[in-house]
Amino acid sequence: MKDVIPVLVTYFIGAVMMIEFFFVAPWAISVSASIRSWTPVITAFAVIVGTVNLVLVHGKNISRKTVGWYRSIVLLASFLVTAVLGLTVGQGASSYMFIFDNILNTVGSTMFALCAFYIGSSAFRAFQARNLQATVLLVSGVLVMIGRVPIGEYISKHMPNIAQWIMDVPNTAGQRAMMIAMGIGFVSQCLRILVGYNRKHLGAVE
Amino acid sequence: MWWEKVLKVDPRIIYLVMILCIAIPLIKPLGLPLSIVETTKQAFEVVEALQPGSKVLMSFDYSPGGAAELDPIARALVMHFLQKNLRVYAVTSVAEGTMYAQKNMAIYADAGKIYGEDFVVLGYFAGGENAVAALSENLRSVFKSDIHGSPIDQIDMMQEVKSVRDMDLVVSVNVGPGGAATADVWVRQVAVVYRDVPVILGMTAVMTPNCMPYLQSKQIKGLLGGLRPAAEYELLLQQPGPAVAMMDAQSAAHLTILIFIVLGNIAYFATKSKDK
Repeated sequence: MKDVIPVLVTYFIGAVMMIEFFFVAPWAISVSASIRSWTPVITAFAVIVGTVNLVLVHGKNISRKTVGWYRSIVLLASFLVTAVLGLTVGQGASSYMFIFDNILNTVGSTMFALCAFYIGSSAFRAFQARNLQATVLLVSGVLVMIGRVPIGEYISKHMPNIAQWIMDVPNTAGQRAMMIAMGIGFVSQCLRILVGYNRKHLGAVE
Repeated sequence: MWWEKVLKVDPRIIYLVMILCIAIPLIKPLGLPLSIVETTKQAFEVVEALQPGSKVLMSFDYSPGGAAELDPIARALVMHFLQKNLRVYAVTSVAEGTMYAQKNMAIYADAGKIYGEDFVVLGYFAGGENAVAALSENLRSVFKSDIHGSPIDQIDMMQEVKSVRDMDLVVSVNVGPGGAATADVWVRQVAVVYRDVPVILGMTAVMTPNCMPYLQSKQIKGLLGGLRPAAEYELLLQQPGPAVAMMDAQSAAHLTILIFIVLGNIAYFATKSKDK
């Protein structure tokens, strides 16, 4: 029963969605619209579950003084301050924006900016023309990289056109092939889930 | 021997060179020429063709990680909407996106536009792809109030819209897989379903190759991928801004990486021939 009901619910919802997409059936349109409108509510519940889990995990870290427990204090304190401010003064308030501008935005951008240094280092050590495939990848990557910035035009006026051609022709051809293959795979995977053949999402081990 | 040493160079030296190459052009811009590519013109023309008062659903689907690349795109588009007197409905599928929506829509407020008549910030919607499908069908099924808590039925500019069909343009400035509703989601749930409503996507440069097929197939009407299109857009608006200012630094970073690749390959082949 524990497995059958979720499979039946999945099958029913999937069937309604497919009928709504492929056929003109007013009842299916109405039912699927209702189901879709539940999504934000269900996702909001996931936020509650996540919050409880976060507090429990880090609360345990602090009470048991596990390695790095003081980081859990920072996390819970930041979480509490941001949540209280957001709920009381609102997201447009200057105090809330202060946290966003000076902590979240800055830290987030810094983390992403670190990629530039890793790319710099790996460009030196890993992007090597070890075989034909690697050479093709390297040459096309370099042409696109340099053709997409103003210095490419400074080197040669043809660089942007070369970069654009690589993006438009070989890249798009490859992307299309992958998209079609992934699409077919996605459809077959969805059908397996709908008919209950694949039950990994219900915790089944296959 | 020398090339072996080069290959084993301390990564901190590479990091230092990168910092200098990015920082110097930011402090002292080089003023390198920048032409405008066809894809940027295409997106610009889509907005340019809209009549004053047209309605734009704009989704700020990015977080701080992608903001350096994506915020200039969003800013340039909002500046254009302002020039054209378009009405903007700002939403986001990323929790932090609300801040970027507010910051960018402040451009409207600063220009004297009225909240609720010329622009509205509806804020964050949870639920990714399903939520995009739901709001496209019926905005009220996802949003009951705006970011300030005002019921949306009491907002003037909400009276004329029920679904995406009532919009004249849909834009998603999108961080990609990190966001809840990816660029592909907007194609699947909006561009393909509501074919009469043009869709423009803004995204990071690294995501652009994945979405080029959508532009070629005309499923989307415009694609702005990375900082360069943002800079080009600013030039088309004749309002050079942060994106134009950052282009020299990006040029220098790309050139530095290119030099690293060349040096790394010379060192690789030099040591390889020695080993033989």
